[in-house]
Amino acid sequence: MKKNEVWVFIEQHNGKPADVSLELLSKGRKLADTMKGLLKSVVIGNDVKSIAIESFKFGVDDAMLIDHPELKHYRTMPYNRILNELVEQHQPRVVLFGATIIGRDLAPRVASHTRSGLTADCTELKISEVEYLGKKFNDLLLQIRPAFGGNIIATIITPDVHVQMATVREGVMEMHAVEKPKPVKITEIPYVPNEIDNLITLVEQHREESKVNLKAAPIIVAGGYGLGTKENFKHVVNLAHTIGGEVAGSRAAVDAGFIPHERQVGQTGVTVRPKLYFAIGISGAIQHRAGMSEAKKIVAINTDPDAPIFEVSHYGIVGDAMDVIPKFIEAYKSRLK
Amino acid sequence: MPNFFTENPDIQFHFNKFELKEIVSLTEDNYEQSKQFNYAPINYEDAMENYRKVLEVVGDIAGNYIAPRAADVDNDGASFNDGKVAYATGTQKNLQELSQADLMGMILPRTYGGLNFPFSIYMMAVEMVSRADASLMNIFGLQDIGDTIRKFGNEDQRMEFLPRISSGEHTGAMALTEPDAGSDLQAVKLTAYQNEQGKWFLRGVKRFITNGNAQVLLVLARSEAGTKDGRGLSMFVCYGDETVVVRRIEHKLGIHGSPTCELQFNDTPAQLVGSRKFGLIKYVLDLMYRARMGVSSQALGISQAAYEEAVKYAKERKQFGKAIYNIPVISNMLIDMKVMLESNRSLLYSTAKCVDEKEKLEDLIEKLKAEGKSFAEENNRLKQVTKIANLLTPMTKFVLAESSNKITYDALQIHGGTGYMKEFRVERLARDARITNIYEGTSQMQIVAASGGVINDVMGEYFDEKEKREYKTGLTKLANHLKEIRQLFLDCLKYVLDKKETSFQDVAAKDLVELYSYLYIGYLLLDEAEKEPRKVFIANRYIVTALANARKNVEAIKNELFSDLLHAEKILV
Ligand SMILES: Cc1cc2nc3c(=O)[nH]c(=O)nc-3n(C[C@H](O)[C@H](O)[C@H](O)COP(=O)(O)OP(=O)(O)OC[C@H]3O[C@@H](n4cnc5c(N)ncnc54)[C@H](O)[C@@H]3O)c2cc1C
Ligand SMILES: Cc1cc2nc3c(=O)[nH]c(=O)nc-3n(C[C@H](O)[C@H](O)[C@H](O)COP(=O)(O)OP(=O)(O)OC[C@H]3O[C@@H](n4cnc5c(N)ncnc54)[C@H](O)[C@@H]3O)c2cc1C
Repeated sequence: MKKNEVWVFIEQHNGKPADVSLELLSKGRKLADTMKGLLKSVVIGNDVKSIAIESFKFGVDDAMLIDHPELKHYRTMPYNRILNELVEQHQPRVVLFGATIIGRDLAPRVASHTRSGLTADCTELKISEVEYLGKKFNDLLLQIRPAFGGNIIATIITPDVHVQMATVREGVMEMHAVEKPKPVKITEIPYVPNEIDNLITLVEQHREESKVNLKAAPIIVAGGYGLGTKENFKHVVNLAHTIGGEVAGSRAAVDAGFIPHERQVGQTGVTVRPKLYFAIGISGAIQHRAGMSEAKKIVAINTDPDAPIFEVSHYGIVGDAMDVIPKFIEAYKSRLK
Repeated sequence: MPNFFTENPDIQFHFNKFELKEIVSLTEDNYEQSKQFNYAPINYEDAMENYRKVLEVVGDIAGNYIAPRAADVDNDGASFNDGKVAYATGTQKNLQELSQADLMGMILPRTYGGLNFPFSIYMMAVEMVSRADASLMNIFGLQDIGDTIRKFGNEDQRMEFLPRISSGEHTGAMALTEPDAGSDLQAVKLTAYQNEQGKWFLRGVKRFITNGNAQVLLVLARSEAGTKDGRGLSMFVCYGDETVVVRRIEHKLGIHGSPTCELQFNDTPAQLVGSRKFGLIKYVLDLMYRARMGVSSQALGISQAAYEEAVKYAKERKQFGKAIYNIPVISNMLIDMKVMLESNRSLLYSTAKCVDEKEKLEDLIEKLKAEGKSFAEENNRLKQVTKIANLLTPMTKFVLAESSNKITYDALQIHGGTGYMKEFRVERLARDARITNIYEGTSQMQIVAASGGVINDVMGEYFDEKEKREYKTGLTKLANHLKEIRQLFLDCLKYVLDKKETSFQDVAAKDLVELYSYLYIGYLLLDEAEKEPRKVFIANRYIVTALANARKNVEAIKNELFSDLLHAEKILV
């Protein structure tokens, strides 16, 4: 009987691991513990041993490292082939990918080649024993995700295959380092080039920051020109991080360079309907209100008691954002304790 | 070597027939000014000759220097980098040349370095500059900001700001609009507050400010904390110093040479102009007369340019073995354009004269007051003229701006596919025309502004007089048409008033204002036709078309086309 193994494909860009992969390691550790199995990271790239080592901070038992100059950048063919071979050979119980462009390219290919089960965009993962059609299955991966436009939460199982896979979006799982990392143990796997790997060659790579998905965010903390400087705007970012919200802003904040354009809320930006919307240092011009007035709860912070934003807000705080935001952060943190 | 003044027979016609005797005499303090300034005119003929000379210069600069740069200005546009606005190279040259020719203070008094011209003459200059480059008008035509400071500011303010505006060292901007205060300026929020020494400061945001990067800004601000309407607003003048941040300039359809700025006032030191609380209800309303006229001239200049392009192209372009100029539908369109253009010009200069008269009477009354003399008679006249100016300025802006859109679109159509291409001027003209019925009050707001005068039939007596007159035999038919339009108008007016329903009145206002404009313009053209044979054709086509249109307006009103407003929810699904 094979050891139950949980693998996490570690996505890397220019020698840096993607956050989502580290988040998945944290989750993977729990899954492995439940199965009394091992957590392994799969690191593919060039000069990426440090990533393999770093993965131990997140609870890995064993890292598989495939390091070769030709693997520097992600390419579908070689990465796919390597993973196919590894999965076929070692038959892990669970393999996790980030639901990134790369993860979405890779996971279905590996799953299809190795005839594994796969669910995309899971929001929760669990290991459980399941009775299904009168049969008992051990260590099944519950692949949980919203379905039918978010109206139901579906739990998907893939009982008739050994390898079960899932992709998870960035920011869904919590990332935390383990207290006592295991000793570093890296299994280096040689890369044997194959002519099909070079069917597609990379001419040039140009990366832009990924687009944010403000529309789906349940909490949005938006800042405006009232913050005055990019430096001050960091308070808004801090608040967003503290309460787990997305950062957004008014057009004036975008024009002033406080935040990138894709985070502009309003008539010519994104229309959002979060559960909670903070409007900080935003006057609430009609063009801005058009994009956020349907938020379930709106909290406005503004020095001007006559600012139009107060007309649509549920809670209005008249005051200097620089004073109010730190208080908010503090209050929130003490609540969590 | 095109000269936009000497080579435009219709402008010449209007200049030659201008009856500005009284206005010029008032402008020149009955030619007293010539004692103080050796270059001031000594009598009416001298003044007109002077105006003509200057307009020739404007026509030359416009035709030979500004117009050839317009395509580059449109292409380059004003730019915004590191918080600083820069004009296109062509715009910079244009402004330099206009300043060198001493044209930046045409309507400002000589004491402040101006030319002390009547407003009507200035409007001719604005028309020609706009024909050359509509976006330049937005800087050249902001001279009336200086004029507003002259009218309502104190002597210190005049001395401080006007000479630099006249010399072209400073340009101006008029900062009224805010994100939540567009057509409804009563909603202006930008705050003005005083420190212990009584000094004023401005704080807040303005947007869509033409030439907002200017050195002198005229700002409408809320000086009375806690107020919500127009009575809490005052007018301020300030410098575009480092406390005024240009946050962005807009990317827009047309007038690329003119920067449209979003401004942030951060405790900007300012001076109150005139008295508190009169900012909107007096000064802005007053500024509007001249500003709306400026836009009307701009619209007319663009129309003139489009018409020229269309005629030229139609003569050059051959299809089916002949110049398209000779294809009846095309020559018909061209004639329509020409009729619209010339009737618009008649309206513009008639209104300009009326605004001039109002301005000069106001100045005269101020003077008489200061001298302790009686001014009852002047005051009565002023009241009458103001009523008419109140009707004619918005009507003019409405008619000319809408016409400009129509003329430029038709000119583009005459160019066929070519017209849609950037290589030809006409697509720029169509884009530039599009702003004229939006800023300084949209066409809808002009209708609102004009409708009061129309509903009160303020030109009633004037029309009565005209109806009593005998016209030359050939024109009797047209005079009768106008009588018929008058009858149609009066019937409709009664119909609308009898309804006693304000929403119905609001919607019918457009048809009523149009009816009134046919009448007024119709009579202007009829008078002109008596003087100049060529104008008979213009009057004929205008009035015959007007009668047909008038019947359409009547049908719309009397068939209660608008009763479906009550069911808007069902229709606008
Ligand atoms: C075609 C067009 C499209 C547009 N589309 C959008 C759009 O999609 N989204 C959008 O947002 N805007 C849009 N706008 C712009 C909009 O009109 C406003 O200019 C913009 O929303 C103003 O942004 P703001 O509220 O951040 O800045 P401001 O209007 O400058 O307001 C700043 C606010 O901060 C307050 N403040 C100042 N200091 C402090 C402090 N220390 N603490 C707390 N409060 C403070 C002030 O009282 C003020 O109310 C558009 C405009 C145009 C013309
Ligand atoms: C290029 C450009 C330059 C400008 N330059 C300046 C400048 O230098 N200084 C300055 O202060 N402003 C300037 N403006 C602002 C301009 O005057 C306003 O855009 C204009 O008055 C309309 O206001 P708004 O855009 O808010 O439209 P709104 O007032 O929101 O109007 C939207 C629509 O509703 C209609 N409407 C609104 N109210 C009524 C009503 N009561 N009855 C009937 N119809 C109505 C309007 O006609 C329009 O069709 C400029 C604008 C532009 C685009």
